[in-house]
Amino acid sequence: MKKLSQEQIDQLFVFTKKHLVEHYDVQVELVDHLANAIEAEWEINPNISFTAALEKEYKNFGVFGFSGLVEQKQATLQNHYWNVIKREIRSFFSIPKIVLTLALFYVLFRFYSNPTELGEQLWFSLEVVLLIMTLALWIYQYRKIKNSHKKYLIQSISNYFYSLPCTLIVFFGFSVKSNPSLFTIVLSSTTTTLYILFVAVLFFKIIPLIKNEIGLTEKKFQHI
Amino acid sequence: MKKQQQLYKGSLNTIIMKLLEQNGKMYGYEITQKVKEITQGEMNITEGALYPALHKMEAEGFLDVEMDKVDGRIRKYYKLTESGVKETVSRMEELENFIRNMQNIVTGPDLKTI
Repeated sequence: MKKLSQEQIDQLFVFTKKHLVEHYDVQVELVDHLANAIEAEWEINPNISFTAALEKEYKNFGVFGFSGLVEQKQATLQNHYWNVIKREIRSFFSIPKIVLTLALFYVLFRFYSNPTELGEQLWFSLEVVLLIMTLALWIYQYRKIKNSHKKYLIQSISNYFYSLPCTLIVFFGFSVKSNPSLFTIVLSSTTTTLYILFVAVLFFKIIPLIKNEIGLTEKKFQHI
Repeated sequence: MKKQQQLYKGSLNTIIMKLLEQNGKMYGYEITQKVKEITQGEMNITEGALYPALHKMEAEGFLDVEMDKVDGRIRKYYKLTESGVKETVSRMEELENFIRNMQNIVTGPDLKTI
């Protein structure tokens, strides 16, 4: 049976990169799939060139090619971790953790009900510090992945989750208002409580889970 | 043939899991060829359907992956995890139940009264 040369395998890696697959773990799987299909094609049609066989097989990936596949894999992983986040946040609304949630809500309610000038300034400073911290963390992660020799798809997921605390601050813009209505107080207390729970779940549950997954992925590829 | 593909589509994950249960570990291309071989070309799993299904089951914890170097390239094998084995049993039961019910509907004498 005619087999692919190392040079042709390298060409397949270049081909996947050219078709916007930048993650090594996805490239590896696609290269092996394409290689198998080309070798099978050579069995039936030995005169077909490597390039023609490759183009023929690539058509089987549909109109979106590899990009559809990468996007679907990213969406699957994001959904998976979002489900873990939802489950963990839900647990803060059942016994015994609900006591913590109510206590947090109460403290925030009191804070938003009687805002002092010092409180307002402190809250604003805290928000700015949090924004800078999460932004710095996200930039650090982004650069780390960008500079790494082999990028894995799971790293793009970690980058996505690292960006969320910062994005949410910008989106919600938690602020203390003077003479607030009861509706404003309840709304601010609720969104801030949810935000704090979300950040806690993200940093104590999701990030360690993803880090562990990155470690496992790297280990699997190191052994070869 | 196209209509038949639609019928198979809903059972894709179960088919993959059953194949992995029977064969231990398999790689993507091997799964597509095995299905073609068993169904004598009637069922054709496209790459665009196979890999998202494998990746979803991997994220759900039903599949684990293993790497190996074959013919100068890295091959990614999929195998069932412990929860994947349990899930396969439950999905096979559901599928068998479905097939039985369909069989009853198709061949049953009371079809006109439905």
